[in-house]
Amino acid sequence: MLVPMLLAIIFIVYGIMSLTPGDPAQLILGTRASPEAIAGLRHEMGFDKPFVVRYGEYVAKAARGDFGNSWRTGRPVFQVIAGRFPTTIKLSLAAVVLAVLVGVPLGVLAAVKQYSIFDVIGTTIAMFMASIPGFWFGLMAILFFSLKLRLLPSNGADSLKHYILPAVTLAIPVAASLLRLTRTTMLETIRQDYIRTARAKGQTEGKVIFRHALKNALLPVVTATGMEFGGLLGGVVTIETVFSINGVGMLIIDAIRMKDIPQVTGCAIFLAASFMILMLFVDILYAYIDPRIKASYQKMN
Amino acid sequence: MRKMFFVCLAVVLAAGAVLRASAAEAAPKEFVVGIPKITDSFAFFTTTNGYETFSMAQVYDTLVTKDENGRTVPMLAEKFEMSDDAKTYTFYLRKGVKFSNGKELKANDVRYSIEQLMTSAFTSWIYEPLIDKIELTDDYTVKLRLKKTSVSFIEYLSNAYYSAILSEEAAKEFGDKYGTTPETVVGTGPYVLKEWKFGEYCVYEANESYYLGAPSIKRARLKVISDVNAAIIALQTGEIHAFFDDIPGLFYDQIASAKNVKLASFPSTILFTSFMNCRGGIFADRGMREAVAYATDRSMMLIVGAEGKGAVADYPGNRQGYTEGDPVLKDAWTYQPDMGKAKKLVEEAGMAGKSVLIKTYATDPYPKLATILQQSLTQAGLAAEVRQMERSAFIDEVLGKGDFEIQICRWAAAGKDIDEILAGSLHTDSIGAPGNWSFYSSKEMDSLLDAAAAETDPGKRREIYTNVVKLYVKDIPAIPFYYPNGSRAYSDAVKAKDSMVEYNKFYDYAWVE
Repeated sequence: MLVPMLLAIIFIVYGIMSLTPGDPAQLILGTRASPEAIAGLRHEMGFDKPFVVRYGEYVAKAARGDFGNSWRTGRPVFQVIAGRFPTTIKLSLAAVVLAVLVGVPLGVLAAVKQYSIFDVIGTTIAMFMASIPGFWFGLMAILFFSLKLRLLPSNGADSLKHYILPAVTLAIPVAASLLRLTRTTMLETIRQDYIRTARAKGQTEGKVIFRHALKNALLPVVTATGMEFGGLLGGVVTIETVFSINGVGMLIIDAIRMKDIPQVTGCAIFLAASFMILMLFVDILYAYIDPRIKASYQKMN
Repeated sequence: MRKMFFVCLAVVLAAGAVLRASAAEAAPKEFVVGIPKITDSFAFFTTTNGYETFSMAQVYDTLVTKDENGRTVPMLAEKFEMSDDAKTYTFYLRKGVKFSNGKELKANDVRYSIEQLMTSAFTSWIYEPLIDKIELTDDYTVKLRLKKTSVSFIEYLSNAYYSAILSEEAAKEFGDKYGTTPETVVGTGPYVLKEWKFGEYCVYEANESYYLGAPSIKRARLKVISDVNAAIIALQTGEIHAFFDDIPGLFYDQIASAKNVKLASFPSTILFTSFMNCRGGIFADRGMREAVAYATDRSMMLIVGAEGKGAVADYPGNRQGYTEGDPVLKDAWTYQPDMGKAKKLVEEAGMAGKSVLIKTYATDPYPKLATILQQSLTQAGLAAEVRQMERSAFIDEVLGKGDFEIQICRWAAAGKDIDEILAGSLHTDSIGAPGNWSFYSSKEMDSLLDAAAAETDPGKRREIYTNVVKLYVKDIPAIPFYYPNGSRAYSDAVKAKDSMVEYNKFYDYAWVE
């Protein structure tokens, strides 16, 4: 599945980048470069060849693991991505962990105490959190925590402190969606017969909720968390811009602006592969959370 | 025994404290500067010359440079001479200037660097058509013989975007690896590259034996901050001490209200212009171009495009007297906004109700300028529409191929000499991507521009350029809008000469005691 998906992605990205107007050589050298210099660079990059030939050559090389060099920086595309990815992964991971820590417990609370003050407050906060634009919240957080209180740095990703504001900003909408999802699935689960049975057997409310209900309600939440995490790995350009973080998002945008086809395609392949691996991990995680899935795998074997 | 233990402990702690204190004293304060992009390589001749230039300008020097009055003054050359016919330039190098690898700068390094500039894809358009021969008289004298007279040639050599002198030996020794790590960067500049995190920051240390005097700031960091908003906040919080990019007019008030940030502004070299296609289409007719001239309120463009921070220009190079060779003509643009005249001209041309497409970039401030122009053209009786385009498509389609009727973009000059600006935007040889974006061709204009470029007498040169401007205003290939102010913001922890900040060099800054 991975290979045909990647081939399709390469075709779409490479195709769009190649067939849209604009000459990368001109963009790199500037409008006033001599025509000879531009023609020379086009030839060096292979941009003077027809699209089909270029695409074929690219796929053939990619199959051997050679994704080429960035046209703009001259460095291997994966080396450039590798330089940016640690920042993005740290930021995404921090945001997702934070979102889970906030969203899931609040979702459980809202479901268990349905129509109570906790539920009303929880769902209202979730609605607000989901509606706040990230760049606005980020700017406000910078103005308050960096400029006014001088507590946290306003830009960069040099230390743990630098990650706090961007991670919180990124976590907010994710936490909101996890809260709502957890609430919905928990509400469904706690009305199931086996929960009534558990209660009838005289189990404590805590055990009923966390051992019986939550475990079953978590499946869609795990999927959603995985997908949110995958989405964040692609970089969040607005947040990266607001906090001046040089992550994967900025790299892709810069590469697209400069029509740096190998870099854009490399990034797309990398992100698609990361996403697919992440989803595979989520599938495996299912088996650990839900014994029924594990059992069905065992039966198949 | 116990007493002895405590005495020893006290001695160790005291020694530790002293060592720590001296270590703290030894580490110089770091001057942190934000910039939208740092360089991908320090191999000057094969590296993009945009923001990237200023990562390199700290470690490389040029033969000549600019002083605070904008005059070209010696740098690596202790003096230079131009022959009477402005076809031979002789540079006398300073003796004893050392590269960071300890080797002395010699004439062969200058020859090597200029040869590289002539073939570099980024600079060949300047040097290749101009330089005929490079002659070395001795180890410290370099003669450049030009193919044709050029008074403005020296302008490029003083410009960090287009010139740098590298060590021939180091460049050849490292080959393709040159400039890829701090160890492979060799320059004569006031700073030495110490650390470099690709895409994030560069750290520099002062070159204490710099031939123009040791830099006042001993350690500096160039850090990527791509967003001007983030930069202004970081300046206020003290996370950065300066920002090496223009501050848009919108933020001037915010900076003025910040107590610890200063702003220095200067006339930029970027002319926002509306170019009309003189080669074909509706604006090939001069009368229609005149109609646009009467319909356009250029002061409004300045207000909308740059929050009024800048100056309306009457012709390319009209930068409040800061352009070399500018005849500085007052009220040269004779078309004051007059919608009645504009309408009449459109009707006379039989074009009333005709549809017109304004093409422009999709980024700020172009859509705003295009909307104002659209409104003006509509009032003049045309059915104007705006198409915002992505940068690469715009460059290819509009600037390169000339597929447009009327367009708005900016003409950024490399230097500050009027020859580059006027010949670059009006000469037939510059049609298309090189800069004549109106696709305007006039034999009279070409011969005037050629005559001006060959003229060495400043008075006569100005006279010819006066005629160029008159012809420009008569033919109206474009509507010049405004030159926005360039500006640099820096923290009050540092001081700098405001006239030097536009060159983006750490060397021009010092800590406030």
